[in-house]
Amino acid sequence: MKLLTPKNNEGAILIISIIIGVIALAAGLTAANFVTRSTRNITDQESSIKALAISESGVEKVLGASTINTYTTKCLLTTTTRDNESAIPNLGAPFVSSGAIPLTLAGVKSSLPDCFFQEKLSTEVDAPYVQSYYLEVSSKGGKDTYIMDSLEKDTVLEISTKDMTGNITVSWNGSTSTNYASILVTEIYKDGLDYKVKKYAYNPSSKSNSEQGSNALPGVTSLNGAIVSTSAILLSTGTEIIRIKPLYFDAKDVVITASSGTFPSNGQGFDIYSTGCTCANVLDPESRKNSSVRKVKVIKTREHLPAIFDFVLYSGSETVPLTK
Amino acid sequence: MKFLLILTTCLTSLFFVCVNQVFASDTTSPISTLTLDPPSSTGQNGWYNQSVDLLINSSDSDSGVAKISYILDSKSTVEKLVEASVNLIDNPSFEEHHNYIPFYWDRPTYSSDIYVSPNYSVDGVYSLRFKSNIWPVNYMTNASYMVTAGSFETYFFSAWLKTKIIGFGTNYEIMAKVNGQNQLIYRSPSYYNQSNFTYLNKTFTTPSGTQGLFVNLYSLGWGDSYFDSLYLGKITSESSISFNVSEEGVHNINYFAQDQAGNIEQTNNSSFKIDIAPPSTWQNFDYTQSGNDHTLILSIDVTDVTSGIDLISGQFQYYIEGIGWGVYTDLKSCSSPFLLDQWRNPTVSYITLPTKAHIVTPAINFCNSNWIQDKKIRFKAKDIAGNEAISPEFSINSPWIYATNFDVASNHSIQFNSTALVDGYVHSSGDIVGVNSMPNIQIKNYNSSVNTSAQYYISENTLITLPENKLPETDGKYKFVGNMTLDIKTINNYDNKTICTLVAIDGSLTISKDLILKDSSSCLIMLVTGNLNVSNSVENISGFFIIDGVFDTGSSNKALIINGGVVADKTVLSRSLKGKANLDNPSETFNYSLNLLFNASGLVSTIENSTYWYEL
Repeated sequence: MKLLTPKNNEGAILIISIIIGVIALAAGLTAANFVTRSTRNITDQESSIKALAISESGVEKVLGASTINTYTTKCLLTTTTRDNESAIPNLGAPFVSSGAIPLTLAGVKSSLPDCFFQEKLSTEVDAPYVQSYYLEVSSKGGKDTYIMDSLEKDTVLEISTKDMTGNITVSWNGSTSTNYASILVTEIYKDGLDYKVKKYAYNPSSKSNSEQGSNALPGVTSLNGAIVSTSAILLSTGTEIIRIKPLYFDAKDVVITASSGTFPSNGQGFDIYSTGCTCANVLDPESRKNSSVRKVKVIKTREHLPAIFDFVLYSGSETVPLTK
Repeated sequence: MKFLLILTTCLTSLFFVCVNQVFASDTTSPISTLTLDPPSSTGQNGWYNQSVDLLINSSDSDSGVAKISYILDSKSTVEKLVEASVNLIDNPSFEEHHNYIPFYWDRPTYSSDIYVSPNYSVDGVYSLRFKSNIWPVNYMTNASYMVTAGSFETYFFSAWLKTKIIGFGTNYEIMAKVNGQNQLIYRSPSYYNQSNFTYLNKTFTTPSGTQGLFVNLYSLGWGDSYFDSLYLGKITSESSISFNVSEEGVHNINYFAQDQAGNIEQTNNSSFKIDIAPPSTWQNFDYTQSGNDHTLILSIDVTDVTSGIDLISGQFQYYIEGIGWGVYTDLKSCSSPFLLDQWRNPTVSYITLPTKAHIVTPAINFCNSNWIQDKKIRFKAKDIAGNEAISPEFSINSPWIYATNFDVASNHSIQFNSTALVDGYVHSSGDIVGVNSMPNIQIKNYNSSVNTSAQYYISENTLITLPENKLPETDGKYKFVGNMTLDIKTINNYDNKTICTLVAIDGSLTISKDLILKDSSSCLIMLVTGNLNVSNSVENISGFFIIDGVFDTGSSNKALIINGGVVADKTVLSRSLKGKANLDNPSETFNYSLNLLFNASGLVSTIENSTYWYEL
């Protein structure tokens, strides 16, 4: 075996030094690449969050308006729904404003109609626009169906049925294949000067019925896979409102269908779609490049009293029975 | 490669269901038996009145049980795999060798024509070839490398064999070292002409004194034989499955097993039925006069949702103050002997066969018209499974409540001694006793998530400070800190104005004067963080009250009518009417004012309860 001596080990030290140097360099480059990618990811995340905030600010503008109705004219949703579309409204040609667009609030340009907004970072006249959003609003009324994406258990959805005739049918989807929500439907109608009430209950599955005791909720008339439907509920003469409340589980894909006519528009609520972008013009594909775009949908239902007002007597204690 | 994949899959799953192979050694299916504990019904008419333990025991004398499956009712299939350990044999596929002599295996010197061959293989490259030209016996053994084993342990052995031989064929032996001596555990049949590799397997249990296991591979004739991919594993789980069923109802169970060779047993079926809970939901208590005013025919409905009501099981007894519970020998005569603690049979008939029954007593003389005295009755009934229940006591002249236009609920149970009348649904986290409801729908054992806290609704609304300790004069939402008493001054002419307000009281509220809203456009919603006490003299209140404390109607013989609603943590409904009035009139009436839904929709609704956000 050849022994290393002070004289003949200098080459080895050089080689070892080079190897260590190469390893150190590789590690440094890897770390730098990692930091760069992490920074880019963080920047992307921040941009995405900002786009969401922009779209939400658009919704807030509609909700905060004293007359939301005006938005259904100015920003009328031109399709039935945009639920299944990509984040960008499919509007064809990019939006081009006509005429001068006035500056309103600090750095905010408000177009006509009011459904398109651009915002500057500063109030400087020549400051560039950096974010924008586009709104579309549709009344929940004036249609023969009323659609809710979901309805939590023990909460109430109230719908105006004023002046309607014929039947309504409620269909919904269970949380899972075995955890179906039951549904209570309460109709308030006017008989002369007095309000009166009719109540309906629907239990789609014997599996969700096991805790209901002897007087179980009656079943639904059709059970087609996950979607269940009530029998036709004949609206009373003088019908005013219906209140729908899921029990046991959340109800998904709730659809209320009118057999004749449409649900009244007045006070019925709105579907609001808002698309926000960290770009100068959300409607311009070129502007959207390398920017974040987020889209939200908000359903603003008819203003109504919460579910606790569906009881004439309620004992809230979990330790003491209701007795007399 | 495909072949290897198939084999690997087979070995991994231990089921060895290889459709392109031949299973010559095990063609019989496993046998499963079901045992119930208790072994026979504990109630009547074939019903169990307790939960039942079920044990499915499967056996297979050849390859052994691989999987047990059962389906209870219409639920999904439950399976149990009978697992074995990793392969305990060294060099099981003969891949390790030196000059084609496999490691960990020994051969007698005269068996020199046994060697590792690449001609055929099940897995890897090699198999063990018997090129047997020398009769009578050639064999290979791993006795020197035996697997350590103990007594009464269950093992699974398998091997693949391809042979074309005449004479006495090819076979294998499973041997045990028992107390230092070799002992044959199993000798396979002889195989002669297996043109494809054939899967052989055996499940066995070691005898007492076992110290180790090994395998002998034999060729007993003339011709070629190939062994490959041997496996010996310890079965680590029982070939049985047990579970408990406590759910009430008629149960149907299908069960079967599959052996290691892939044979599936024909499905067995059995059924049993469980009813643990006795009859419940005593409701629709009623009575009619029959003769004098204290001779009554009483009735009630009772339900058993599982096995149903046994019609001949109904009984009743009643309470005569100063005497006790029992029955008079002659129900119509209080001068006949009183049979203390005795019961009598009423008439029982089905309302809904067989789950709901109607019980009607004969006419009973309650001896006097002194309605201050307590007159009570109670009932017994059995279900068809033999579970007996005694009803709550139903007072004949006890005060009762009437609630109309909307629902009644409790986050605990509902127990009214004298039947309440509810024109709406009834919800309860527990049982519901003593309620007649229209429509007759009662939602029991349901934990509602409706928020009943006044403090919550206060925090959800922007409220104006109520400057004085009295009701406001204009529409709006107000808050007052401190206790408030509503009397002629503090009502502040509220009942003479068309006004709609929400008033939050951070304290307790006493209502000492009748308060009736002026018209249908008026409303009053009060959120009270303390108690709400109603003075004895008050007979009418309008408003919807959400109370974090106690709602007490006061001890009075005047009826109280609440036009609105009451949500309270606890309720004390103490009113009782004079003389015989309780027979016909409610002591407290809760009459929901439906105008509220229209007049007050903007008062309590918040953006949270009418706005639903989704991101697309």
